[in-house]
Amino acid sequence: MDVTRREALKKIGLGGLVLVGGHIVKSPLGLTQLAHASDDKKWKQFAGSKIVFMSEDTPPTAAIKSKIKPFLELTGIDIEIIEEHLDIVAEKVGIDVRGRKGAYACYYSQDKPIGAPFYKHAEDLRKFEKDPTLPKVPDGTGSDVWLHRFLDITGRFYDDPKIAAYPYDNAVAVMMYRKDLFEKYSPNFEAETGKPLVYTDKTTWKEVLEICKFFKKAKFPDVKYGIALQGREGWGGQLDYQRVSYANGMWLEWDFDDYFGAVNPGPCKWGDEQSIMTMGNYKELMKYAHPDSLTNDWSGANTAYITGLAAMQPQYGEFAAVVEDPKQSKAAGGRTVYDLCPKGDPSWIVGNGKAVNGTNFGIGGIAINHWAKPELQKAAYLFALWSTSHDTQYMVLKDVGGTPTRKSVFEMPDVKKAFVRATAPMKKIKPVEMDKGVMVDKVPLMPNALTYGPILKGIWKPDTVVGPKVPKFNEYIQIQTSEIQKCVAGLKSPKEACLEIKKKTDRLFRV
Amino acid sequence: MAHLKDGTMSQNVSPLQSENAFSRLFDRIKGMLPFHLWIMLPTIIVLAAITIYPFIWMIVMSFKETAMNPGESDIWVGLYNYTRLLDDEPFINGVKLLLWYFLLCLSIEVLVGTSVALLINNVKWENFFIIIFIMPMMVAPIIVGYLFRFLYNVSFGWGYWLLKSSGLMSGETILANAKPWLFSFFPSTAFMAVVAADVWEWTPLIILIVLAGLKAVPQDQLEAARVDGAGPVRTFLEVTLPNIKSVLLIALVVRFMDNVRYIDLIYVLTKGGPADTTKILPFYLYNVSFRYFEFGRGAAIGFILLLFTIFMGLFFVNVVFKKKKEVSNSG
Amino acid sequence: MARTELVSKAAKRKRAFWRTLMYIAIAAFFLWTTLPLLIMALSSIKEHRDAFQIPQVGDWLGALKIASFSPTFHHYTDLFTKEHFAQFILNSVIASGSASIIAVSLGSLAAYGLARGKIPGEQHLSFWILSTRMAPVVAVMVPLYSIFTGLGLLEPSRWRNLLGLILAYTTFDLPFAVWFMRSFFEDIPVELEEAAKVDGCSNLKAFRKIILPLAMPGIVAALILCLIFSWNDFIFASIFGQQAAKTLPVATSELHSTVSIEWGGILASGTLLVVPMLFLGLLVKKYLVQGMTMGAVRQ
Repeated sequence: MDVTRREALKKIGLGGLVLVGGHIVKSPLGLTQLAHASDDKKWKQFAGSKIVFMSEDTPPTAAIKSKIKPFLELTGIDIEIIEEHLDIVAEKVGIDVRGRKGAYACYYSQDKPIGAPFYKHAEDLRKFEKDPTLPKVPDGTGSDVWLHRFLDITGRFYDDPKIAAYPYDNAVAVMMYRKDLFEKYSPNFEAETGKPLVYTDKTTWKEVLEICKFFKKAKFPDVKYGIALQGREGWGGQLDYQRVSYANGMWLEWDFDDYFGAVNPGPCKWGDEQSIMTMGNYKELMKYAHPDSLTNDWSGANTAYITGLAAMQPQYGEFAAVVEDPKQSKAAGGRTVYDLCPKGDPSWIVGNGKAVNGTNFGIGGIAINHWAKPELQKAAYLFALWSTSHDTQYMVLKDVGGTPTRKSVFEMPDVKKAFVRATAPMKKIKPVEMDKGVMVDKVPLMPNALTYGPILKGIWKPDTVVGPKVPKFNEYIQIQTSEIQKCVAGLKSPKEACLEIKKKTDRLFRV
Repeated sequence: MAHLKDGTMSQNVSPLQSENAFSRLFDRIKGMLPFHLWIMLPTIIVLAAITIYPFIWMIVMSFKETAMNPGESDIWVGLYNYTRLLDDEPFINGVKLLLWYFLLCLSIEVLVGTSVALLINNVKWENFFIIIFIMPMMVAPIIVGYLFRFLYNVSFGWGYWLLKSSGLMSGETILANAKPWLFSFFPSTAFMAVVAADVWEWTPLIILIVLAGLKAVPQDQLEAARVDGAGPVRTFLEVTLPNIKSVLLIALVVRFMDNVRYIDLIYVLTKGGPADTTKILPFYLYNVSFRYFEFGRGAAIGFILLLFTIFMGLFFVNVVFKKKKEVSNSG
Repeated sequence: MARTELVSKAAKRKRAFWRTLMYIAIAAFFLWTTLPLLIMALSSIKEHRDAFQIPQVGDWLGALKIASFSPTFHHYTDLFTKEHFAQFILNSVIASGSASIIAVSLGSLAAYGLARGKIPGEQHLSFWILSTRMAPVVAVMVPLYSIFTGLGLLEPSRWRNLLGLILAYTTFDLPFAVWFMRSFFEDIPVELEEAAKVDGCSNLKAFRKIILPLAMPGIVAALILCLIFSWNDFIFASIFGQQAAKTLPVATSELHSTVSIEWGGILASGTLLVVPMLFLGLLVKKYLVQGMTMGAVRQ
């Protein structure tokens, strides 16, 4: 028994883990189950088949790709992992499923851009869960093993009970800001406004605007702008705007339950007083933000932040790995603090709407292609199980910087320690000179974990905003972002822009 | 084919007969089409095989609304995909910007390209200049996009720094700038930035082709013009231009077609933003087909674009043919 | 005597003025072309932190700092060790090289046919050939995808995918080659072939022995331009190249991942792309420009 157990451990690449932690006993890994001879057969039954996983080039995929060996040993399945831009993933998956080809047995299904229009082309994962010939992972895949409602976010669409995807990675927005700059210039800020320059989870968007105005006016040598935003055409811009619009009065385009979305959403609320007010305020924010904010997406904004041009950025947690890398980033070496996204401001809210820390995300799921051959679907399911299992996520997080989605990973003691910079395990690097005389010789072992504090707070209602899950999401966000940009560029007034969005969106959904 | 047949036949007939039969058969097949058509056949077959089905597909699709989900089927919608374009703002905006794009890219490229070719023709360092000047063409458009995105960046772009330092630009940003550049009727600064990248990469093509044309200008005609006492401008207009017109037009047609076909630069630089000011029609088509996955609507836009290109192509080509007739009439 | 001297002096001054203007224009264009390339090459041998430094706006002297950095070649070595750029370069070379050769061989035949043949509807035929290059790539991508799947060119196999790319590139190289070379064939006097035929040459032989050598510069020029077009392609390669036949432009675009843009790698790859130009440049010099004998023949 013992021998098979160790073998099984080796097979899933955890040989070292037992020695390191001893958490194995604590966390319900159910290794005996894995090691069971019949289960081993279940994992091995598709040995030799060849499948393709089409994924966005996110850190977890790069990490899984570099750590794929245990999967090959466990299953004998030959998997090719293709990493592409999200645009190209959507393009290729779209052409593939709409052409009914099934070349990619499993694919990365970003909740709104890919899931919302294409979820019907994904196999119902409950079918595989019920299949007795397929193995199970310890803990299972029920909705409560994932972070709060992540399974609903990536897997559930509209009123369909089908589960279309398992949560594969998490990219939740947090606020990243330069503590060193805030401390340094606090006296100047106080002299001007009578308040200290601080950022907390109670800081509102209006206060952020104030900080931006301060930085832009002051023209300090080491930072030019207060904030770097991500107003680029498309999804980046939609998410960027949503963080402001939801924070102020929990405004949503439609009233449906945003976890599930709606096929026919009905008339939208664009053009109401709140939307016009937020549009005006967003324009004001953009005016004082880093000037490329209207053309920057997440990576562009991050570049502005790590080159020391902006003191703050709302950004997805997975970017911490870059921010904390002193070779690339001026914000590394403990200069960055991660907190919740800004709150709404009472004076920016119409009526008695609530002010919340508007937090949104793009959570990628892993889905099985409906058009792939049944055998390959099952093989792909094994990969979906393996890649989202506790062990894999934990391994990937430690070694290369993943973004786990299972609660149990966040409960591992060493991961928990890594939430806080003071206790985070560090690793030594070749010293890098940050500024004159300032050397950095160690970096956090799990930089992404520094963002998990605010992430685990931000993903609950009322702070979190999921939607809008609508089938024509991709066209809707084009309409939305191009009008927002027209407003920010001064080509349209906030009211005109909102009414235009209302007109075009309602026509899009044939209201 | 003919050869194979020959092989099987030679078993039944004597060598002499076979040679006769073979050559007779060969002659018959050969005689079916004139020589010049024969040699065009491979090209025609390859092109037909790869273009006819997509062409028909495009037309058929343009009358349909394609099914989004498994189990559904496409719906015939008649001309709806076309009629809806009439009040489709992004479409109209896209057409307008496409025309601007042609106008600016082609005129600048031809003007600058021809001038530079004339300037470096027969100067001492001509070969050196040629090698240097055609380098941008080798950098794939997608990478030119990244290079210019790097140069235009407010945070670290040397292009931005140069434009600001020399006072050529007043705005705070290039690629996020939706304000018109120079004159108020001009397209946005971001649009001009895309044009500049296109001009940077493809002016060399015009230089190269014009230079090749210049070498083919007969020396005696130039001599005759000089004897006549014609100045450089008149020599250019009366001798050089007519001689390089046909290569120039080929260059123009190629640039024109590629401006419609490719969206690499915009894909990297702006994604159509800010405020739709760089969303030329081909990019809108890309959005419709590969973002919204409305293949029917995309096919309608694609077909219109194709018709437009064919129309413009015919226009250019007729200029070429007219020139040819003139020459044959005069000669 | 004095007057003519005066006139010639004025003429000389005028000529000097124009000459100076000409040099200034060439210099300006030279800067316009080379500055982006220079910045690309310089930035590709800098650490990101150095590459991201620009002086204050208006600080012209500060611009000299562009040259003060400690060079690193790790962006280049990374391309070959962390990525598989050697293979991608090979893929690019195979796909664009083969497609160009196919396009030029088939195309020179067709171009000659068009230039010489008295075929009814020749104008329509030639325009149809050109028009196959006009359809917006995006609009025909889906049916092309079906054709390619049907031919098995999208299966995960390097050679199949490369074959697919060659076919895709041929579709836009071939019409160009035909059109580009046609005018070169038209410029060759018919009398030359007729003389050869009188001597007993067949059509094909006359083409091979007389026409081809004369049209060589045009053919090489077409080959170079076809090479450039297919070498530069992104959209076909990104859809049809798949993983196994990834070309250089696609691989470079993938250096822009979700979380970061690997500027160093992208700029290094761009610099690498320019290098073949130095070799091609020699070819260009020999054939495209200096070897252009058309004019001489026409006389």
